[in-house]
Amino acid sequence: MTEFLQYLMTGLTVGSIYGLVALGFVIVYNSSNVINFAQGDLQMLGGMLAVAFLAAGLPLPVAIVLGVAGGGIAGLALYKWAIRPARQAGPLALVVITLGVALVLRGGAELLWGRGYFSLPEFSGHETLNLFGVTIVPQSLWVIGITAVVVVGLSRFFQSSKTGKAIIATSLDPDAATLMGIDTGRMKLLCFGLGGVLAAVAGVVIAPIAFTYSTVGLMLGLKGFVAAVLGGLGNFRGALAGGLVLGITETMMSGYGRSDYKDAVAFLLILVILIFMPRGLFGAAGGERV
Amino acid sequence: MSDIDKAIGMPRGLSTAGGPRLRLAGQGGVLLLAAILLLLPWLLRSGFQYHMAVMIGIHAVIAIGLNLLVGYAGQISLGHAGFMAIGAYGTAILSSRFGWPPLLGVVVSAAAAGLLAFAVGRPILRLKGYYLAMATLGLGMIIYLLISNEVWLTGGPDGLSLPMLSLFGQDVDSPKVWYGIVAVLLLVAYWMAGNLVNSPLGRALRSLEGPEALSAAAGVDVSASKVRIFTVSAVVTAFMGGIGALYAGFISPKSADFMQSIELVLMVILGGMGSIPGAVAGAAIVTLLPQVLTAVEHYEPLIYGLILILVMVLMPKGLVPTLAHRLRRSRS
Amino acid sequence: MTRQPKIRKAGVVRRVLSAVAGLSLVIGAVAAQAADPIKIGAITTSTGPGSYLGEAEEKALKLMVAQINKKGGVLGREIQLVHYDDGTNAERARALMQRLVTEDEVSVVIGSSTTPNTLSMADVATRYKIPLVSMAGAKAITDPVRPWVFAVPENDVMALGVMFDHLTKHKLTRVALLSSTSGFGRAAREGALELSKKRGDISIVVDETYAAGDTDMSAQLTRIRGNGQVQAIINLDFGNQPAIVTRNYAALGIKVPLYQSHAIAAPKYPELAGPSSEGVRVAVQPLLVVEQLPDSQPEKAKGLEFRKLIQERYNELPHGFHGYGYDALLVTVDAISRAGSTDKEAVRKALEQTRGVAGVTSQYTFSATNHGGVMPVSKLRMAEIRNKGFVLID
Repeated sequence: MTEFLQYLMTGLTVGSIYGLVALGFVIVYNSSNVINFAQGDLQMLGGMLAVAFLAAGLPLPVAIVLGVAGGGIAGLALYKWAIRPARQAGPLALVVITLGVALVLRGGAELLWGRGYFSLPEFSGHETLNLFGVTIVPQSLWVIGITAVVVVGLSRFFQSSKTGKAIIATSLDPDAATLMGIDTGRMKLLCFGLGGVLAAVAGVVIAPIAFTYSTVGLMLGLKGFVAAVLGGLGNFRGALAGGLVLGITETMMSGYGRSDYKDAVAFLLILVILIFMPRGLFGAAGGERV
Repeated sequence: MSDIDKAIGMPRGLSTAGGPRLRLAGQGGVLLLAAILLLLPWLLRSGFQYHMAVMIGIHAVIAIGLNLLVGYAGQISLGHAGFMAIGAYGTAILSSRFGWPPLLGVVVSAAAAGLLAFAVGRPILRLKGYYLAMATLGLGMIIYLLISNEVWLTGGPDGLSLPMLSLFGQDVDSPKVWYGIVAVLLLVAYWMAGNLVNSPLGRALRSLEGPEALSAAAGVDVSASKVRIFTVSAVVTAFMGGIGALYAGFISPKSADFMQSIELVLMVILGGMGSIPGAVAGAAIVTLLPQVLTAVEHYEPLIYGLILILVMVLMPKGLVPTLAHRLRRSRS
Repeated sequence: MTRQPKIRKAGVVRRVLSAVAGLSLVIGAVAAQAADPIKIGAITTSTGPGSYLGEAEEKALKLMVAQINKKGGVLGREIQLVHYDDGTNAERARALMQRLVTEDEVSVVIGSSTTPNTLSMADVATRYKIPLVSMAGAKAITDPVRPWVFAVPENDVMALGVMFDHLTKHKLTRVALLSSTSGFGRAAREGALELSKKRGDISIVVDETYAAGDTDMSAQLTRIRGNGQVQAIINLDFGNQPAIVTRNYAALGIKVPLYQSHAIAAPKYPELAGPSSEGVRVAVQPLLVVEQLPDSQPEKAKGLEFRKLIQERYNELPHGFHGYGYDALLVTVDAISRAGSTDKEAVRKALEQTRGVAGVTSQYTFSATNHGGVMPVSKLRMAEIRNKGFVLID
């Protein structure tokens, strides 16, 4: 039982990170139908910036906030200078553009900071907690807590703020939204910025646990994409659930099964889920309309 | 376009209009390609340049096959490296461990890939847009993980070496001979793809880009057409994976990984979706770029990324369709 | 096809500079500049998961080529290094090897940093009959001997032996193995299982693995913790994941000692793992702890000198992988100068006749049956992390 709880704790931590990255995918996808393959690298950028600001002598909380802000700014820049100029292009062309941005971010980070690994200090020390025999690293609680706050905050934002509603309107029907006086271009810009912030948050909270380096976004970006699709692209709670399902499945596989096949089992699970639920766990139901 | 289409399906109208893209794919295109392939050896100086030409040829055939699926039928696959690896590893294992004739190994592995594609095709291809992308990605990853982990069979991360191909009792190790072999394969693929897109199946395929209900109403067996083209592209990819493995003499799990799948799709999109010459051009760019960029050493990813962004911003429909379009406009 | 304008340009500048220097010095040196440069190819894994190895080797190679050229080159000719990065991709390494041989027409190739990449290049070396000096450490590279392939580092089985000796000495005979499923981790795991069977003094009671990219290994360590028999844990991997293992190990409050392989023995490891790494035992290259070596050790003087050079040029402390870069070039250049030409067969023969060449990580003696990887005694030492530094222990 203790073992199970230990695995669950690890799975929740890893899953929260996947969930945060997945949320970024979903927000960008909803607003502009683009799968942003730079999401993982925006996450890397957040972590690296925080490390760089800290090394420059700023206090940890300031470095963290600046790192997150940097991710947001990069998200805005990505939309303004790479996606917007190609807005008449098809979605696959836009995906290629985000792939290009991912490479630019990775290459830029390597030139600036090299290819080494960097660590960020834990937010509140590294004294471990012990609960029913389960060892808990405080940073795990930070990861889970911040993810929860982000999810609650986001759903509040989309449900009750004017801008949030405008974003939802834009994602549902851009033409109608424009008619209603919503500046849809602005909303898309905002969503890319928000996606960047979410990615950077993930990058900053995971850096004390798993470190940060120029290619950290490759694997986590992929996992985030998987979680987003698993949850049913377009659904916030789905993205989070997708992340948690993926994280917990992986950890349980490592704990009880063979870790070399844990990813294979995760992918097999996803195939089965998609075959029976073609729109993910929480995807909107309904047939294709002409 | 309804909101559900938008939220769930791959947005429509991915490729260029039906007419002009076929122009270069007809008889004229085959003759032009044949002329280029015949004249190219005068420009190639070193063994390495032949090597790059062979690699481009191999990738071009795969891109042509994938383009049928992605460009014409509008079905995205992020798992084709898996089929490539089935061809490569199948050939390697059958020839080096079981002593089969290598070419028989290639054919059998390609058939196996086709069988797998056919078997998983029906459930997977019901999925739309990014869900299909996800499912194919999962399939590709499972193949990749099997190859990396089953060391007893595949050699794991250390890879496998293959025996040299011999034809008519002669070892084929000269890049020039390989150039000839791959050039012929490319011409055949180009010609067959041109015929296919003009056949009834081709027309059925192109209708799949649009709403499926329309295709169905027009009498197209939607799901059978998709499965058929998925299988065809898998067989082509695996076949060339096998040929590529024989040419290289060595394979590693890297050839099956996610980035390789992305590169294959990149060839199709950069060159131009729904354009057969585009697939060839895309294969050339994606194969040559990393080698050309070794000149800038540590700036490679940065510049590679900038090139991707610029090409897609300036030529959103891909290289060949955009250039063809400009050419026509300047003529009229 | 674009070649290497960057290196070319640097080469021209250097040639002009050294030509000027040569004129004012010796007539022989002027004659040297007139001759064609000796082209040495190099492939390192400078990006991707293996960048940690290749980056250090690349730096050492570039620095030492410049040093040799400053001193007048080899055989009176200057060395031109044609360097490529394989991005931890075995197939790319192979294509680049082909490029070095047929396009750049180098005389000998150094590389690559990892085993799969070296093995993929080895076939090309054999086919085109060009000497290849590897900086990767698996037994499979030089056993069985391939006529054209040599290796500088001692192989992973020897390196494991050092850890096993230490464990036996301290009566920690029941160990848990925790390895990555990446190339190095897998090869080292198999080596360890084999070695344990062969030696019989160490029994492996738990055998856990994790995948590349995993960010938390608590699950595996929890299982190890749950096994009452385990007296020590060996972690076989390189990169950032051993540091994560170390942190998880400390967080779970595991009491038995943790052993890390030589593949992580660099200052970055204690820096990443933080206080968790205190007391972790690591097999290290002598170069990393060169100041702690007795003066009698032949590697000491050379190592100190090399450390100074690296520090001046790159502002970092050299570790074993810088050392492999240095030694690979040293062995290659030594063979070229003894061969008296860049004829490939002559260089190959000269490499085989390498006798007692002292590098910074070891002394090299090759023969027709030993192309490297095996030494009479392992050069690795056991060290413990104390106060973020590596301290030699008994």
